[in-house]
Amino acid sequence: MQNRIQELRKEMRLTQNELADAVEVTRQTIISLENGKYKASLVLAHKIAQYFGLSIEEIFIFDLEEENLC
Amino acid sequence: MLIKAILSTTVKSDLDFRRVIKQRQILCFIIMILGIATAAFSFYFSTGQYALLSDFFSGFYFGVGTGLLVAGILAYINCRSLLKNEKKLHEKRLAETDERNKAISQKTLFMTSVVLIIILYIALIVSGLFSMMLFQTLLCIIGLYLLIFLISYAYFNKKL
Repeated sequence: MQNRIQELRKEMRLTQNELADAVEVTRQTIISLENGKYKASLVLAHKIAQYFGLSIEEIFIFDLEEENLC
Repeated sequence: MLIKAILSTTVKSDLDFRRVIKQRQILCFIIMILGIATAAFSFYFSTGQYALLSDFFSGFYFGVGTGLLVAGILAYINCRSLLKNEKKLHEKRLAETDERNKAISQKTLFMTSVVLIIILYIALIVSGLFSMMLFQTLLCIIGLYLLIFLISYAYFNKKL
């Protein structure tokens, strides 16, 4: 699963620390999410989406092939 | 780590976490008392007419007791400093409730359990060559491990 967290964060000129504080996780979690090493839970995905004022689908790009759903 | 995980499952704010830290202080006292009791046990059963412990066990129990006491004191001091500093408390809460950290702990515990059961199995096979008592002890441990696994699985199967 890919995501647009880094892109959106840079657009808003936010640091990883600021985003981490806003969604109540550690900076390392934001780094891992941006690198694609860690998949956010539904709650965290919702918090991030709410923070950016977007829907979850607009931030997290669900890869049907990768998830074996096509 | 396990106790921390149990105590901090419902934390949603710094206020909640403050309550958890206060509970942890009580746990620190229990650890300190356990340490003192272990050291006292070692002292009592290694001197005078009740000198039942060998030098090895006396030293071992005393060392464990002292270690528990020191660990309890250090953990208590850490809790106190967290309660006095809002910023540190907040940072600690984020670190402990962070979902990635929780996922890491779960995966680590799973991996540790798998490795442990493999090591126990190998030890069980090897122990049969040397000692019946060791073999039976290891067999009981493996049996207990599997029993706890099944009970836990049944519990979480109903709960989740």
